[in-house]
Amino acid sequence: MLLHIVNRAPQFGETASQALRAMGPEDQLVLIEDAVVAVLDQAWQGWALAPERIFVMEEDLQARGILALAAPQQRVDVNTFVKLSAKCQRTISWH
Amino acid sequence: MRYALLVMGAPYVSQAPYSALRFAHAVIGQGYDLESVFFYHEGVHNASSLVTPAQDAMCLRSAWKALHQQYGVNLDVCIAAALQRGLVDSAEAKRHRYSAYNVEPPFELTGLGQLIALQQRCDRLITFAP
Amino acid sequence: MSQKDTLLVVIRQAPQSGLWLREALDAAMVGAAFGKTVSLLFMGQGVLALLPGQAQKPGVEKPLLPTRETLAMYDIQHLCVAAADLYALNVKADSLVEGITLLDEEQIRGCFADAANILNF
Repeated sequence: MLLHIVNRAPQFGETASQALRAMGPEDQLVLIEDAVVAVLDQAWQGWALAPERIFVMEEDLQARGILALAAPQQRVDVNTFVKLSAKCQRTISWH
Repeated sequence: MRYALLVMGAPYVSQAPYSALRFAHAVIGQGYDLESVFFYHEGVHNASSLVTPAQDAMCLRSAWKALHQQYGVNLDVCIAAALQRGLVDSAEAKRHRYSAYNVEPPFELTGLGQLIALQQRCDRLITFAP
Repeated sequence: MSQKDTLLVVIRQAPQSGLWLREALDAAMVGAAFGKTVSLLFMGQGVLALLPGQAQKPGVEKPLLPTRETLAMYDIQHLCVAAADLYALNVKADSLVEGITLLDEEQIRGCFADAANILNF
């Protein structure tokens, strides 16, 4: 199981969609840094593709003033991010 | 579980070093080992002693140093990536006859082989890139 | 060779963009020198690195990609490209340098699922 770490917004550029293309059926994905603005785009294909396997970094949402826009069950803090990385055997960062 | 981090973003122009530091403290806080932070690509700028942050900005270099001093985390800097970007330690400065150097311990210039070895040896290698 | 020894190096940035390509290839070659079975996967704008006859910068004669012989010397045999990205950029497969394997989207997912170690540039 892979943990994909994405730091670019899906609205700009192809980074996030590359991560989705590489994502296996059990892989997890965490949106960090600028990627958290994905919550502004409900039409992003990631939400439909793997809603229960995509997470958004709480601290980065907070820093951008959009914390309330992310569903509570999708938010992860840095401690949960570390736990995800420990649970998945490998990680890959998309930037 | 043993972790290593790969940082490829420069301080103050990329969020990568901040994210890596935040992650590093959470790793240690959960009782895991953090063996090393490897700086590659633009990440090598984190090692410069001459970076002077704005008065209201946190000093990333001090934060990396504290990570080494408090938890024994190695701060490995890719030598080839560093030299190309004007980062030299005292030995390299002497070799190239430069009048100054800007990489000092606990930052250590090392080869890329160290990154491959870390990936082999550690259970997790997490990348933070620009 | 156990699977633990595989290293997938992914190249996604435009070839003349900063030092990305150069430093990705350095990592691949050092990985190979350390006994890893290295595969190179070109995705996104990274596929443009596979067009022949490119230079690192205008006016810089040094070629962009190491030759097949150099890569073979490091035992890097697997060079793969995302077919969908070639198509998206209107690049014909037969215009690439020789010896590149085209992968469809399912094979790409397979690459990521199988690699023990990944470095994504």
